[in-house]
Amino acid sequence: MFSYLQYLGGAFLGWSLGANDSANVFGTAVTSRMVSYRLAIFLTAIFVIIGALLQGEAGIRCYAEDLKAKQNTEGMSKTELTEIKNRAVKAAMIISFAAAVTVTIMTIMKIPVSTSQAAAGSIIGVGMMQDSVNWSKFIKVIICWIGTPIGGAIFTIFFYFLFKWIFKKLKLSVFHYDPIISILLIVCGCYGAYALGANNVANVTGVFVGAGMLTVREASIFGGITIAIGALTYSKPVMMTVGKGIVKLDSFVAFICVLSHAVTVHIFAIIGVPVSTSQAIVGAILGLALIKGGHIVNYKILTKVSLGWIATPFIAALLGATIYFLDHLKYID
Amino acid sequence: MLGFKKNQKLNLKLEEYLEVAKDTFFTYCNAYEYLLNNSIDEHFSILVEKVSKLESNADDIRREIEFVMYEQSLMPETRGALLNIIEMIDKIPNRAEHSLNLFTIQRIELKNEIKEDAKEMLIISKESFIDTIEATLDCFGKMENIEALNTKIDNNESIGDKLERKMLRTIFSLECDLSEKIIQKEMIVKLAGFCDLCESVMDLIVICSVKRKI
Repeated sequence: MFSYLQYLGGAFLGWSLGANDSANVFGTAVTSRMVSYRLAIFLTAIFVIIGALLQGEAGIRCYAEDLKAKQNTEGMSKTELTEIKNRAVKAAMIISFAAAVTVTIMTIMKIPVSTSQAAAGSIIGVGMMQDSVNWSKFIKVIICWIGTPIGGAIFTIFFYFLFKWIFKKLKLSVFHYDPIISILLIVCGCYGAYALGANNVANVTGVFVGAGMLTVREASIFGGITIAIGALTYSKPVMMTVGKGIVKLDSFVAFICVLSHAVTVHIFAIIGVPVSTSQAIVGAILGLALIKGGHIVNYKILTKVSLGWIATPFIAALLGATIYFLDHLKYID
Repeated sequence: MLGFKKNQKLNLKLEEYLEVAKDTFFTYCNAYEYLLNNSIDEHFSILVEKVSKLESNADDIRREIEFVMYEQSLMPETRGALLNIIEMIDKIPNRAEHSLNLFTIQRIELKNEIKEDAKEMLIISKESFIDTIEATLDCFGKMENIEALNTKIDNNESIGDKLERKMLRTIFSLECDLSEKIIQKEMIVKLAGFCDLCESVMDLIVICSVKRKI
């Protein structure tokens, strides 16, 4: 029974990631009424699993190796090794659970957040309690957090002008343009879901591989399925914030935003760094604001989203540390 | 495949609708011109009957277009724009039919003093309507001539307004019954209204084309 319970935190995190981050994939397409919500979540679920299975390995390995590197097991006895493994399993459970609770709170508040931030925050929280935080690695992670929205914005600017030029050259009638844009939105949404699965599965199951509880293959399947379930069951609230809240999008810019976010996340998936799809899509939308002018941005929602980003790692760290502390409380006579 | 066929069907229906709307308005112009040169007789009644049938035909096609659109062809934003434009265009055949019915029922004959101006107004209205149809097709097509067509329709509307005022002044300066003047005024306003309607359609087309511009 305990062996199943160990994965509950991971399943919870996968579900919350699916509920929060899958909104970024089809959010713009659904709110601009190009794609129905049902079709969107169905396609997201399928392509998230495919992405996790085909390209999730790099991120999971990166995560797992980083965790393993912290554990120098040379010259240890079998009992000591078992003790270390048990501690790692427990830490993995706490990390997953703390991150999942954080993302779920943000999802209920309809704020698109970074599961990577939540996972990293809870790792730091637990790591601080264990006095084993690798701060130099953490700085690299922060650079990636800043790089993701910037990447999303840069790709938006690039794709916007590229496709604008292409469509101007093509001079399509509305009877051809509309179905082409619809197809492009669906294709890019599927690509975004694939990139989400490939990149973010590491956030869900990387710790389990690091703790030696799952193989990379098992982690990909487990993570992919739990993310897909999250997308299928509770992705609508954040989807509306992403699609409607920040900027009102028409079909063309919705397509550009989805494409830019998917390319950004996919690049990080290839490199093997789990990043936030929320940051990528918000970056993409802000890239659009740079082109069309700041007046199209709803700054109230943007502030709420930004505060969510800042708060996420702190909440996750606090939760991780608190759960770790409570778990290690001992009754003294 | 993926809406292309439905959109093709919609495109053909739109062209068919515009063709019928054009036939309705041209027949109306012929009937009006006939009335200016002759009087209400059997030939005029035949033309009125023809306008009525064409108008009804245009209504049927418009409903078919709406039906095809609700079958999920085109994107919602385009659907709304197309629907608004067609509904505005549809007011033109409706007004044409109504205007001719007034002539027939009330046995109205326009005063000789305004007949030449009415003929000129017919020519301007016809021109504006042709441009409106071209602009509609262009708006949902390659969007190459909308600006030029908008300028033409706008100019025609100004000329139409001037003619309308001139005709009204002429009527109210005549020595005749006030009731007769009011009836004549109603017919002048109805005739001048076509240029205004074309301009209203063009306004919607301009908004739609601006939205369509990436």
